[in-house]
Amino acid sequence: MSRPRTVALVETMGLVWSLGLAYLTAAYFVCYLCGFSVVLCTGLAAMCGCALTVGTLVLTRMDYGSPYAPGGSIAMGLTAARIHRCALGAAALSVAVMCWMAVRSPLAGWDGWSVWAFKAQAFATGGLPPAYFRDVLTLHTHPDYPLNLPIAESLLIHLPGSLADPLVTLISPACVAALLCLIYAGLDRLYGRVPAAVGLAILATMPVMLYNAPAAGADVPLALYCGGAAIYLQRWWTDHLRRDAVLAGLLAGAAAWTKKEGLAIAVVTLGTYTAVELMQSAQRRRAPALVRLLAACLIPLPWLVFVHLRHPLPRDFSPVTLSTLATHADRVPHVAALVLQQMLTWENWGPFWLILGAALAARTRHVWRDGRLLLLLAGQIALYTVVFVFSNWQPYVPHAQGTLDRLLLQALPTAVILLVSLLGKRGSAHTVAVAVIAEEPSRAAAQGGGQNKDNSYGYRACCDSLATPAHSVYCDVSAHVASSSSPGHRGDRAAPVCRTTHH
Amino acid sequence: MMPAVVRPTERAAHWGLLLAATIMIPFGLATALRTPPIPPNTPPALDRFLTDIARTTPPHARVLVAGSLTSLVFYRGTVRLYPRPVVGYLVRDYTTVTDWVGVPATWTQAWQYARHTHARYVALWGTAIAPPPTSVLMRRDGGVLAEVSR
Repeated sequence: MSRPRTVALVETMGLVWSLGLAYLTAAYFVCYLCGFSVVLCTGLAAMCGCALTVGTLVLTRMDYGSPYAPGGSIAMGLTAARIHRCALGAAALSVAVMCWMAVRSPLAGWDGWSVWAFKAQAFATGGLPPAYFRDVLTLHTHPDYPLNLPIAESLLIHLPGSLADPLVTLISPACVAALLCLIYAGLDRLYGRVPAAVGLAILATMPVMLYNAPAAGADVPLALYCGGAAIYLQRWWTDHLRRDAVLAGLLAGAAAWTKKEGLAIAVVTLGTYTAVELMQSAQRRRAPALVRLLAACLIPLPWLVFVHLRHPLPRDFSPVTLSTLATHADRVPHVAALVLQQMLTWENWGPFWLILGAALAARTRHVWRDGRLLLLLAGQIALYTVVFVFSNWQPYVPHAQGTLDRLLLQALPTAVILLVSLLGKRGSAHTVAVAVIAEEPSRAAAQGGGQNKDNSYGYRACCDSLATPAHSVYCDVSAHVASSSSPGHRGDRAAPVCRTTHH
Repeated sequence: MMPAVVRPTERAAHWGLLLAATIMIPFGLATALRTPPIPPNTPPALDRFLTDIARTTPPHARVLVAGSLTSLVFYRGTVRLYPRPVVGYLVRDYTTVTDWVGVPATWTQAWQYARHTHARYVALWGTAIAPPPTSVLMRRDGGVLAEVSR
């Protein structure tokens, strides 16, 4: 199997798990609201989930033969191949340890059994009664939290007890594996396979991921959706393929269906997308791209309508109003200090955040290209700081100290993508030259038939034609976008950058 | 076409990524290999006691559950006794980080709280409280189950 096909298969596996899970549980929730029995809910949800997943995959199918994948058909150097294998091995080992811990100690995490498995058990035995969402007795189980994970777990709880608990606990490690599939496929396409494998290994072996994955909480599934949305957003900003924007929207929507803070993260993600599109559309007229935001509504819509109509009792937050913000604004510097303290907690993160900070300082020249991803990451981290302004928990400091590691875990995939984008530029392992087609943009555009508005397909085909057995050449459309957005520039007349990779 | 331009900074950046990986990955793997599985936070005796309560009481009876490990006993009772509504001996608001679930000091306190919250049964685990013998339905695994109406 050729490398682009292998990568596409890996990506498909990641999408099938992440989107399939969200579609299945959202369909189940709709059936539950209709008052169907558990068996009928399961059957209908399975059919709807499969149909929607297959439909999404077909509509957003990959162009396997795209010349855009750098170094697509040319073998790697020996050293690069060894690094690639070692990094993938480290990631696989880490996931295996997570699975082993999940099986050895099923449903051991406090939130895992007290919140998520509790709701799963309720769904498995006929569904949560409508009174549950307004019952103060079970307020500690967060009735206002979305039900993606509990419904998924409820489908496994029907199995015999000795199988059910380990399988329920294995959902989170499976989410880690799906996240790694999506991140690897995305980074491979954007930066090549060695940076992709290295980024993958850094993400998979992060201690905080290892501690949380076997705990059966919803933070790891949420990290899957946040990370998936982030990598597809980065792909959209680089490749401008419509499918990437749609998938980013779908995954951001699934985040809103997974945990309460997922809604805020989805807003941050889609807000970043909108801001970047609006900044560009003034010159490049890409406002219709905003229509793809509608994809984000598909998965969480039933839950959001339900919350709007039924008002489940909230536990954690005061009303999100300006008066609450003004009253508790003094918390912000304290929580910001706690966030910083958490980032420097060695046993959770090692030197990761220090390395990311150093990379940002060293690569400030790439602020436009990586600035969009940095904006997304900063938005997420700012969200985790501001959220404690609205927190009901008293005292808020111990609550923040106890939860910030899990919250930052949700931003970890975005941070890893940013690190790789800063340090793993395309072909940077062996880049010896950068060729710029400055004088012949029309020839470059014509070569691909001008298949899209910014002629990036044409430029890519042009770059591909420059490849030799010793060099693969690929088109850096983001450089084109950056240059075309500069003042006084005339859109499609901009020159893309063709980068050559020496083998 | 313009002549090729050397970009040494990109090569340096790539080495930076490898350096980061060289630091992070062994650290992560070492952590993974020496981290034990999460220990179960519930004593097996408590789970056995709650299972027995589930066998003894009707499926929708309201139960007051309290014990020496205050939050754990209440949370675990809520999960293991579902679909029975479980009442905790609340002493503070839910959103207090700690100590919002308490344990009654005497049987009278427990009985009064149970009456106030319309609980039919009182399950106490790991406490020295002794309900009147006529109320006791079961004593097992460090816990006692009493019926309020008796």
